[in-house]
Amino acid sequence: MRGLLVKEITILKNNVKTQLFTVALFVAMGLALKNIAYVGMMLTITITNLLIITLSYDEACAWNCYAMTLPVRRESLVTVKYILLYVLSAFSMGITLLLGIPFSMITEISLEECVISTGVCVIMALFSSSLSLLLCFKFGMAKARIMTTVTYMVPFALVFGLYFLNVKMHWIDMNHVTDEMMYWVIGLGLALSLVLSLVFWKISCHVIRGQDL
Amino acid sequence: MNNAIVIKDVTKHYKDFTLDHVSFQVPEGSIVGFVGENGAGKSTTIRAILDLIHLEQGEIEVLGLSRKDREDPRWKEQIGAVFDTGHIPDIMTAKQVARMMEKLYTQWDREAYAGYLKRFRLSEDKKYKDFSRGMRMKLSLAVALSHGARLLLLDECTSGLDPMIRDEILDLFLEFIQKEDHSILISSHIISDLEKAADYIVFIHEGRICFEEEKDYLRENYGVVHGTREKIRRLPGRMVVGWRDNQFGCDALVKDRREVKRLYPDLSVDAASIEEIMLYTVKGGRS
Repeated sequence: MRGLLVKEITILKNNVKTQLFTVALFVAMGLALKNIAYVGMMLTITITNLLIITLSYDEACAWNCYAMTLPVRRESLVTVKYILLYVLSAFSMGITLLLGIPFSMITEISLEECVISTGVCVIMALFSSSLSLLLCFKFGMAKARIMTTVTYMVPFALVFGLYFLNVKMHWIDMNHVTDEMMYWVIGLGLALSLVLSLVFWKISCHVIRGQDL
Repeated sequence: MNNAIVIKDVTKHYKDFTLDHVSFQVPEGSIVGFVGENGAGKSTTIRAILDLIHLEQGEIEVLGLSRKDREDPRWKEQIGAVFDTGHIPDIMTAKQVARMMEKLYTQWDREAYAGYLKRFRLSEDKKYKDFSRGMRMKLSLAVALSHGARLLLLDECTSGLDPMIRDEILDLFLEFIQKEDHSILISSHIISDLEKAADYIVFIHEGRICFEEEKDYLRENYGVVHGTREKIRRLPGRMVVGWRDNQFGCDALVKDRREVKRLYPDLSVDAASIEEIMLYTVKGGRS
């Protein structure tokens, strides 16, 4: 599988330069808007989008078919993508947290807000990208691209839906929510999204085992 | 003699095509030409050998390994596969491909790979998308030949290449086969390539194997008989593979041209090419 990772890293290296400009643009916009959550979300989407770029390259050259003539298991084709996802997610989390330090110095945004918004972004990215990967393996890139939009909308809809329901039903008084409680929620959310992504990984392995390549 | 590949009764149904009880062998130390028209089932069969598709029926043994034995992917260290279209990501260079393959194959031979790149005049730093079709094929071959493979599976790898490059590649195959335990299965519809290099010819048509024969046997025995319709039609059915009417009379493909010459000295008989054998087998009428 190390060889497959080498291939993924080679493709990413070639595409990082074009993404750097986009990242710089988002950081500038985030500073102008004084909104770290915006930066975190756009960075996470941009960086995890690199995964979709590798999938596009694979589809363009029918890589999976050739890869199965190499001494690798079918499941390795899936596993390497999920490993890449976790690495990219951790990387985007790290970059956003690092950016939070200068943000908290320049703007009124606290470091705690930065940590919480970063956590939320990574939870959503992990869930959406893991599901997108499963859809890609199951349906191919062309169909999965359309469904990928939905995978990003679902967690947003869930979170905003719950928020507005809470406003109506007064389940939790948001003024009494502390940072510590938020850290717990983020921690649980991260754990849940990791578990879900592992479930999607397992299903993806099952899908690719049964496919004709 | 051991067999590098044994295919027995392989069947697979698709919507508009069926691989129908395909059986043949690739003896060790030989080049087997797998011929058939476009859509005959050559690529599907090769994909079945590589476990890229799931079979409904039949067994395939590769290098003595059954399907169960092949669950461990390390058996693929012994095979090299080249397809008709390139399968390397466009932005990778030959150098980057080598770095990837080094981590995948335990027997990766850096010097051999560098040697092939030099021999094929391929730049290490040029991106795959900038290679011509012939160069892409050569790069795929360089990879296939640089990790100690014993068996090459080549799917239409000479299609679309000019005669010079095809000749170069065929020489490479003949070099590869010098070792007794090396074997090649090459699928192609370019018969002239197989007539040069192959030891055996397997002909597939519409998902069924029509014949599996030594190339020299086909060349030395099969013949095309020319004559009038009446003369050709009196040839016994057991001798005739198929016949075709033409504006001058009738031609028939026979399995033993010497016997025909002996029994019917008035008929004109020529040696049959592999292409003619295929054509008459598929399109010829029957006695």
